[in-house]
Amino acid sequence: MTVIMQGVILLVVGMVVLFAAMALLILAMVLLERLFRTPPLASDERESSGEEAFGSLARGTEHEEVVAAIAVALAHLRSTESGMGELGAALEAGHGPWWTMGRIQHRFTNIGSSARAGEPSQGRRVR
Amino acid sequence: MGSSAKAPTPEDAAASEERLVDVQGHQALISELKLERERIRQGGGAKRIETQHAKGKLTSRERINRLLDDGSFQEIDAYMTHRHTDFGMDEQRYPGDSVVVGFGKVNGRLVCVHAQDFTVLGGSFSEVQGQKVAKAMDLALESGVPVIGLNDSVGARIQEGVYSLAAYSELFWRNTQASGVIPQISVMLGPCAGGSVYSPGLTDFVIMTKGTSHMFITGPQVIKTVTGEEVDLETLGGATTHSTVSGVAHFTADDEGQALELTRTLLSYLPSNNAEPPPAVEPMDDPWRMDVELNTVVPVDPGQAYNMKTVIRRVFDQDSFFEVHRDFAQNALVGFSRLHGQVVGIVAQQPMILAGVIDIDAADKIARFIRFCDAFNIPIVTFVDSPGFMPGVAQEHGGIIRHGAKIVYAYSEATVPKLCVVTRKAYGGAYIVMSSKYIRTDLIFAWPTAELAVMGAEGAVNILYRRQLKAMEDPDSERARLEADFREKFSKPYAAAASGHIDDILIPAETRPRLIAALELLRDKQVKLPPKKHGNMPL
Repeated sequence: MTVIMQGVILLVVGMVVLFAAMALLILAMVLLERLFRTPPLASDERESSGEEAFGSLARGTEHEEVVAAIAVALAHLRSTESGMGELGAALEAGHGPWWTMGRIQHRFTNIGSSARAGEPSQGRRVR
Repeated sequence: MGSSAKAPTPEDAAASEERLVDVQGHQALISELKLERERIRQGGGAKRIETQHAKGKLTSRERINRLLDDGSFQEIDAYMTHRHTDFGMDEQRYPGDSVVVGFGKVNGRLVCVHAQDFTVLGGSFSEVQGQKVAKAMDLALESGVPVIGLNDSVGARIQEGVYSLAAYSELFWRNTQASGVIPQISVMLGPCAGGSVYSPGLTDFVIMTKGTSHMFITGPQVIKTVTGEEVDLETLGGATTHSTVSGVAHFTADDEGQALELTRTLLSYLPSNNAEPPPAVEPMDDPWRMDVELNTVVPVDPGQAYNMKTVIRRVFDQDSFFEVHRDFAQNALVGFSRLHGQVVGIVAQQPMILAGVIDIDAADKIARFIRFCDAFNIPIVTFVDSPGFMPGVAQEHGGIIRHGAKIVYAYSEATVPKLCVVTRKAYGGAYIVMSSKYIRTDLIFAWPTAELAVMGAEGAVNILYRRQLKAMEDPDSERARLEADFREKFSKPYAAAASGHIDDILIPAETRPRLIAALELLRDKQVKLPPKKHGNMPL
């Protein structure tokens, strides 16, 4: 048996083992899910009022989460209402071409102005 | 699988032997280099390093390693030695002389650094030290990265005479050239006396350690001889003195570790050079956060004080306020903060100290900070509660006119986005200088508690109705009526808003989103100044 043949066999056996293990795992997951499935809500429970649902949610440790969710929703609503939903987005985007152009112009102006207003020309002589 | 090994020929054997000799030769060279490096690392020797540690001080290399990101330091000119022979100097040559220079990274951003080595001839400033620091500064300036100096030196190397002085002046010249181009930070970790103080004095920020660092032009002995005054080292030029009285130091640290950490924090607010915007961070705070506590921070009674730092902390990104000159001229507040992740410079008055009046020191503090922000593209947000200038003969004779003018000059010259919030008093000249509309502030907001007037109601009534009130039988009730009338007109911001002197009146809680929105608008602001060599600031 050549070395290549040995390699091919090993590869095939390995793949079979791997896929068999995966199939077993999936099977186990399906079985467990069926065994411990949550019973469906009764129709009267489903139709309970929103207030009751809110009341049960607001109890205990979940209370803070509910408050936070309302605050976020309100903030979002407020932002969309005032047309400033993307407040700060331009800052996050960083400087635009207007700034870059301005900087370049400023640099050139500085060079020009220092030649005009700053330093006397080389050839000038004061008598 | 099989390989047919060829028997080595005599030529191969000869070549192999030659290579071995060559490798051995290189190994010797590399070993020599390693030894040399070890000698450099020892600085002035193990004994002097011990002495340095005994004083609670680190060596120059330890300091650099603490300051920079791990493993990022690249040393240059480690082999330079001095050329002097007088006064036994020929027997005191150390590779690298009395300074360690190089470059590295702080939070991933490049910086150049020079650290005086006190273990080598007391870190004395020599010709070689000057050349090395000058090279580091040139590299920093050409590469557009900040330069940080870690100072710990007895002063100029006397044995080198004028060569040492020439090296100093090279440094001062470079400090001036780099000013406004790259941030320069001086960390004072030991003595710094005589002319050498002018290099840190020319840099943008000075950080001093308490107890171990001192700065002065003339020491206690000379002062006693010349003026007869007796003063100890700490009182004359310690960290506390320079951070509270003279204003030379911008920050103080309890120890070297804290000083280096402060440097890292400071750098996180600064751009690498004047062509870059300051470093932004991922916004972690809600831009729409409206702190209702702000609505009641300013007392309705204009005579009651409140803490402006509370206002700043509640408006800007959480825990982002980094105060500069915290202990100097506390009636004014300056510092860096972040607004939606973007760096801004904050200027404010502190009603808790001297009612927030502007005096000579406050004027200097504010003006210098504004100029730094403008040079490095940092927008300025000003909070105004400006009751006036500090009255008094000492202030007038000390030049409050000249110093106060610096604030006007700095604001007028600044082209970065300028925002202003008038929280309460905005009286007379002290309002005009504090980022008023008239010196080209871009957007001015006022809180409902704002009072924009030439002066307070009491003062105004006294001046305007002095004669009438004197002639009255019951001047008090009339005075109260006139003051109430004056307040009705000027102690509310509506009259100023009606004539466009302020741009909007805000509910204090909405200051944060409104400032963010304004900053968005002004993000790319461009202003052209008239061509000039430079202005003539009233220094």
